[in-house]
Amino acid sequence: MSNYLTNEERLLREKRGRLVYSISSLLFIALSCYLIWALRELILPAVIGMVMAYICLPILGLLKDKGFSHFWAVISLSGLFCLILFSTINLSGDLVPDQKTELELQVRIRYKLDEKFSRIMGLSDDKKGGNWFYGLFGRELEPLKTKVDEALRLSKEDRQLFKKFFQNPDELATSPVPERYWNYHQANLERDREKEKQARNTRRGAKTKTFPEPGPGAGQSQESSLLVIIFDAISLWLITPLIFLILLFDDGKLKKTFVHAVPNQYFEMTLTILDNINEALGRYLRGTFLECSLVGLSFTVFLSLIGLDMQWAATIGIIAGLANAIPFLGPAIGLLVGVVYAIMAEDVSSVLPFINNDNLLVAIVVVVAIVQLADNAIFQPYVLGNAVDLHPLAVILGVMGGAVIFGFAGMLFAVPAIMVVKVILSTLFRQFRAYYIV
Amino acid sequence: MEEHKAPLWASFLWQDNRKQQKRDFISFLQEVPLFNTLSKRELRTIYSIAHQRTYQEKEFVFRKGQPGAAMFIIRSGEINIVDHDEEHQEKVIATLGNNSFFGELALLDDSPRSASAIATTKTDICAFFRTDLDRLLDATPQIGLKVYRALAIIIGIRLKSTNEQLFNK
Repeated sequence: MSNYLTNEERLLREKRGRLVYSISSLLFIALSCYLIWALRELILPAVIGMVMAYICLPILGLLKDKGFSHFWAVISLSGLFCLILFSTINLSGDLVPDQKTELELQVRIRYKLDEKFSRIMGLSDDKKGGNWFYGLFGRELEPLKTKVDEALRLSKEDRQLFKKFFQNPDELATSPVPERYWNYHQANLERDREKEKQARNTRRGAKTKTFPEPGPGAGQSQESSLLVIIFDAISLWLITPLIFLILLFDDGKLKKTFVHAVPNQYFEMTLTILDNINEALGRYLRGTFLECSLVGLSFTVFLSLIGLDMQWAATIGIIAGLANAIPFLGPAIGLLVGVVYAIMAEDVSSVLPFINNDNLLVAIVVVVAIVQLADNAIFQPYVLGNAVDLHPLAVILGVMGGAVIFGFAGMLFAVPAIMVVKVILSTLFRQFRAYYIV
Repeated sequence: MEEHKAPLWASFLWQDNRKQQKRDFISFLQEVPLFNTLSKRELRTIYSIAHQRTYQEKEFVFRKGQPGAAMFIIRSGEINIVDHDEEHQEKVIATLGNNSFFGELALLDDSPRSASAIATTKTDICAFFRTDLDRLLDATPQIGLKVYRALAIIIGIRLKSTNEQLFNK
């Protein structure tokens, strides 16, 4: 058709074309930005679905090698995935404490925290004195301990409920609270009374600081709002398995559609860049997945060796393994969870005779150190190799930025996101020059 | 044979004649010497890694010196393989038509292209990316073996004819 146009008409047509393409591109970019902003809550569940599908791709390939058609390979993989998910939910259901256990845990941790703190700092029963360690760090650690203590304090309703659990467990159809925990609760209450008395004495005439008690019905409204939050979260997270399935069924069609839209001039270059990203990201994700699994497993084995219940050892192992994907912060999270357990642990029965209640904290710190050493000396070099070649500053800034935007999940996905950007930028300019574009 | 060029979003929404396009494409692959030993099921696997492109008259498919990443098969149209002589004059080395393939050395490594390829008319091309074919070889060695064997035979024939041309000169 263009052969029938005069040169002038052809030039005009090109001009019109440029204008139409520019306006539609701007509109497309503006609309995309608006949609990304409006649907930002969906980004995280979608990304997790993508990552899960990406990690599963080699298994899909393996199933296809075994003679499965693509359809049946995806169905089998999804079935396997559902089975693992169902078992994990079942298992974690046992780990999630009910209301009574939650109150018991709060009372135990609060009591033990005070007990261990006083012992380490060398404080007497009336919180006087203090050893050299208290002299050095007491001033910094005391406010932190008070903050945790306040967070663990039972509200008025919780105190009444705890009393009911102890005195009339049959009424609530549950087993009674052990005598020991009731004594801890009484000790905690005594401490609160002492504190309030002290506060009254020091600020005579002034209003004593009291902790806000939730008003009647507040618990119910909190519960209902919690239900709404859970429902919202579930409906948002429905997109994760959906994306997972769509990407597995896709079988490369999405990539082909994207490449099809690329101008001929950039065709080979686009394929090369996509391949480089795929290789770097795949190596990183699969390596990290394996490394975190090994760290989690090591934690579980060592913690059960030093006397933790298998249930707790596995829980701390899963948390520490998952957190290990966050550079720098991961080991600290593992240590923190272990220390919290060490604080509230009672009746430790380790296969190693020299480990008891008193030195459990030290044993957990040693376990964290051993696992970190194994991670740095064995797991990372052999499993990850040089898959992560990022400057530590970029990693720290990325993790902090991820935390600010998406919280914990943002910290988890910060490094892969930086890696994708790094691979795109480094490959893009090399390929631009190689294909005579710049 | 003319490809219906639609915007990206349209290909997500309308999947109208995809099946027909797939059937046509598989029939085309059956006639290509590189794939004519493959079964229909194997050709469907090849289809999944093929990229279809359309080049306008005088548009370059690739230029000499660029890193090679893909091999191309002409579906319809015509391609000139060109090089420049010492006086920078464009010299046509070969003219290729339907079912011919070029840029096949890119399947072996990413060394720079030894000549340029330019469309002499509107040309439909089917492209295969090196890494996709490598993965295919890993995942389904029986397909990979047939493809690379056919490729070796064709490259051998081309080498023989080049030797003869050199000898006759």
